[in-house]
Amino acid sequence: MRIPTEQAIAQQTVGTTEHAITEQAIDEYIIAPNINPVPEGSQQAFVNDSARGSTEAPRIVIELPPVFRKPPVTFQPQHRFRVLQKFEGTVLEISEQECRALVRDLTSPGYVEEVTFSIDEISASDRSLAVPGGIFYWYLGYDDHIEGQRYRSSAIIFRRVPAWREKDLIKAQKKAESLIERLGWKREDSSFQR
Amino acid sequence: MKTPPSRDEIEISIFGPGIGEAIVIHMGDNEWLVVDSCIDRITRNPITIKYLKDLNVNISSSVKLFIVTHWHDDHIRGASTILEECEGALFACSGAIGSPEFIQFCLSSRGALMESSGLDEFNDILEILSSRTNDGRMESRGPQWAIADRKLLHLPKKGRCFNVEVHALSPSDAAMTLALREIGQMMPKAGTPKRRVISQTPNHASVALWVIIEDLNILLGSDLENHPPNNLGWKAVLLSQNRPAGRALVVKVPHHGSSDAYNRAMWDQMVFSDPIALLTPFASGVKPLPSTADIGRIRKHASRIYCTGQPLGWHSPRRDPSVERTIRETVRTRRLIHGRMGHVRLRFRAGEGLKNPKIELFEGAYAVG
Repeated sequence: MRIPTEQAIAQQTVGTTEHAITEQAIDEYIIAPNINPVPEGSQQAFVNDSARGSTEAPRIVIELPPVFRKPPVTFQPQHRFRVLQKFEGTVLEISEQECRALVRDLTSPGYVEEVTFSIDEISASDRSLAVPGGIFYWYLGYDDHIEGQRYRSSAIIFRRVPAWREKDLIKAQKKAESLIERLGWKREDSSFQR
Repeated sequence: MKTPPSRDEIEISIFGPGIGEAIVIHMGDNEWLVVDSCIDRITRNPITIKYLKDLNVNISSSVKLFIVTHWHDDHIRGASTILEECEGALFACSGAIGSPEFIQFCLSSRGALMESSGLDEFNDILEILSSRTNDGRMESRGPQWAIADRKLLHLPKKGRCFNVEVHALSPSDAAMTLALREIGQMMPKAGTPKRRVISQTPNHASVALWVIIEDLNILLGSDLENHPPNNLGWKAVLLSQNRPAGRALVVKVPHHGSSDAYNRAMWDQMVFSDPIALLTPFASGVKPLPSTADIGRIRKHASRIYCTGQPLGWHSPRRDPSVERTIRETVRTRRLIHGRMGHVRLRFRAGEGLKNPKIELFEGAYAVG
């Protein structure tokens, strides 16, 4: 990447036309993140100056911080995870050492396997979600790093599901009452309480 | 396989794909009993429907009773489809789930990420039954709650080949109370995270059945287990003064032959010596069923044992070798639990007992050697 010097930038901005500094021109540069941070407000003042529309040629005396040319915007992921196999799992039983789960094949639907794996396969942030009935996804595939290395990878990610809301339960209760009535089981002398 | 039984021929067919089971019984005169449901992995339909259609049975009128022994996924998957087709059947299920609490439990589960095919199926069943009630159809029958010592069906011999009775042996009163408590504990509470429903308690609410076809008794053990105290499970069945008398010639071994469901007195008091024992495997759980020890225990009571499939040994789908390698490195144990659908078919004529039964094994079914 070509990095223009401070002097070159000054020549480019001042040497072309005195009114030529526009937001578009500014947009072509980004501030170097680590070298000589921009004094707060300096760039904003620069823009405002040029936007005033004065007939007198402005004298630009701002000390420009070192800037770089903004690189073209391209997507360059650091690494890519290529999924070869997906499972959806339900925890059946969990102990301090291992987890027993039912996993449903999402890549070749129709196959269900029961597996046990070490608790260490579950990330620390997901441990609290690993309870009987907890739902997780298990991804297997290749982790392709930008440096070119490829790793086989297995990731178990627990699903974060919302908590029960009072209104969900009330709704279910009402539906149950309605169904009971339709089935002809409704008793006259008692209401169905949750 | 597609030849229907003759009018006076009794048939007992049991299906099991590794997890789940279903039973159909020809009670004579082209009248059928269907117990539980499981799904054929290939057709994705209840195996019972496919089988009866293959036999050219008019399902809507010929199935007289459809029983779901308990709501666990492995016994109820596809049950609503069966009920939809069996318009003329009486629907019966465990009395332990005949409570408003269970209905609310089912309804709150729908679309709430705590999906369970058992609960979803039961939801659909209730909807079907309520729609039948509302349109006033004659066939809108059920649910009939199966509880210990209740006769669920009686087809008198008048105009038929056989007298037929179907009795529930369980759940006991104590089991019903326990089941209600379990449901209460599983009921969602505001503020708690949504989860799938995993029932891990012993299955005392399951409906064991006693089927009488003329002079032949059949014991269908369902998943009824054998735990203390005496007012639960098989102990309660054995202590009952009101259960039908007699001994069975054919036994569907309870709970896939597990030691949890073994009660020696059941074999000694309720079953003839050397009956035909039918089994389905259960590939899930801490250990697959039946184990070698389970088979050994059953063999003490029955020399003819037929199982719908092996609890282990099914093949996973073909996957990328690197995926297989990573799976092997990640998991400690692993087994495929949906295997080939196996089918054991037993046909014989009433009055001949089991002198000359015709036993056929289809797909993964095998005679336990």
